[in-house]
Amino acid sequence: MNSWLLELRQQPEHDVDASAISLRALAQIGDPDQIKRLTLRCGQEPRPLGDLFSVSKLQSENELRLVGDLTRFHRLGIDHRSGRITIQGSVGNYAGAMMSGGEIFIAGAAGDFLAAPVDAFRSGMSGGRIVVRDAAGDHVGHRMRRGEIFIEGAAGDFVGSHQIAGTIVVAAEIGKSIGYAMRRGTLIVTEPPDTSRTRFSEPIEANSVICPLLGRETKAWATKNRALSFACNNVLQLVDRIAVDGFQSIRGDFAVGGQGEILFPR
Amino acid sequence: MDEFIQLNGIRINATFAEAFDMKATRLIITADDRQWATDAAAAMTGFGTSVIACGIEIAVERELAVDETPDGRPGVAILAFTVSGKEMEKQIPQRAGQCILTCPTTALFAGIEETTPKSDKRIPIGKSLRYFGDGNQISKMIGSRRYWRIPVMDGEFVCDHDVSRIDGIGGGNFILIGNNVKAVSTACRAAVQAIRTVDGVITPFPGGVTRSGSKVGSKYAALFASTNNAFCPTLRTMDPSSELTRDESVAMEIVIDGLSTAAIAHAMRVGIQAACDSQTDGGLLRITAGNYGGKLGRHHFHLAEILK
Repeated sequence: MNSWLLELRQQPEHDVDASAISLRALAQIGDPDQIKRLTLRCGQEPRPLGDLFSVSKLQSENELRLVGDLTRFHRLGIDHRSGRITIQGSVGNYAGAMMSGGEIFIAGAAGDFLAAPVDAFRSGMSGGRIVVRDAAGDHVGHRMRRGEIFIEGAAGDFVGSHQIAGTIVVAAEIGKSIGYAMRRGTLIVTEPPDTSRTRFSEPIEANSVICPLLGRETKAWATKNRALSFACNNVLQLVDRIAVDGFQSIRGDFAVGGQGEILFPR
Repeated sequence: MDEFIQLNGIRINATFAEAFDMKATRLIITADDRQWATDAAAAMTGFGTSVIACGIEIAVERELAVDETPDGRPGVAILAFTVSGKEMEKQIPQRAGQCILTCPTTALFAGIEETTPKSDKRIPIGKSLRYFGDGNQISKMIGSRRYWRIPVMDGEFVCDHDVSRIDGIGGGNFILIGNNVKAVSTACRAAVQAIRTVDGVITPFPGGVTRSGSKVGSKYAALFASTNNAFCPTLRTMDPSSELTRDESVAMEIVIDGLSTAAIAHAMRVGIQAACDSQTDGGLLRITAGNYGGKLGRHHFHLAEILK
């Protein structure tokens, strides 16, 4: 399992479909020139990866590290299954789309549809963990069915829309229509969300040992990966707060017979 | 019975305890306060002294401090041993459902560290109990562990999906023999107290001690165990197989189940040492061990070697 460092050399003129930058594929390649020859779709034109990135080998195991402002690069980490993708910068839409395992750490911001399904697929993220150090766009965790998404900053509209299971924690402001059509799963936010009373329950005060379990596991994971800057202090603080002080819980979305939960501090 | 060593003037027979392979697991019970955790553990481990009729040997291993439990609450670790994996798969969900799920504020966690790859020998916990939630139960994956959250009248019962089953050993033992009940009781209690400081072992009988040690088989076809004639003082004068001498009028046995031979050997050593150090005013005369001639169990704990 080879590990690679891709450093952005120049911003592309158009949006880039970065599906080809896959850790699973790159880990099997031993020659940097072969990676440079991989084709990325830049706008309507194919372009060699080597035109946009410098490529070098890392000593770590099963890791892909990307450096630079990648807001024009979409679908990074699509179908990620194992290992670690570290992005030292911001990313475009559909980062971690349909991932089923491993870890993705985004040191900047993420675009829309983080971990969502692409094209006509109907299943979103089904395992693994995504940490976004800054803000994320709309539709975070759309159709998510397992795994964890931690957003240290704010998130846009429709967080957890059509969620089936899994956990999303947003440690700053959230947009509108959180949990839209969610069936199950857990959304943890800082403030009472503005939810429709016909689709979601009244908040009730609750306590559950599931929160300390989540807090402890996350803290252990963050500590283990401290050297890789996988810190998620805001998320940990929020989870700790609801573990110690208890939380309020809103259930829904009743419009789809959902039993999802939105938790926030008392 | 002729060869022996002495410890504080008490004879230790140069014999061995014969123990058997068993299936084992560890569970961790937590609760909002220690009282609920110990109440739940007491219920869970009730009627779990011997596989002969209980189907399981189960007891508290030790109490756990808040920094030793998965959810940061006071806890209790219990160990369970059965003769088959199937029996374990039956006993644990039944007991967890009736004794832990029912006890206010409790949660139940797997206490066996997971291997990589994950062992496929699993004992269901939440996998079975979740149906009590009648469709309102919630599965939650945290890291690689699956938990179940079942709505109950004080909030939520949280438990692991399952726990792995490992190999254990049952039937480590030693028999304390004396000339009065008080002295042998004192020695037994000292031994059990010392054994309770050892991780990875339990003494499943009441107070850690049994006075009805058994032999294999019976004159009655339906029974596969019956009283151990050799150590019954009332049979001494009429049973030629008696191993008691004229001045020996009481025998009590401490049975130890453990997760490894080393843990059982250590527990036997500290137990025998504590018994011999206890104040019995000369009432404790001898310590021996139960075996079947080495033909039934593959684990032999030789008292002389253990005490070296």
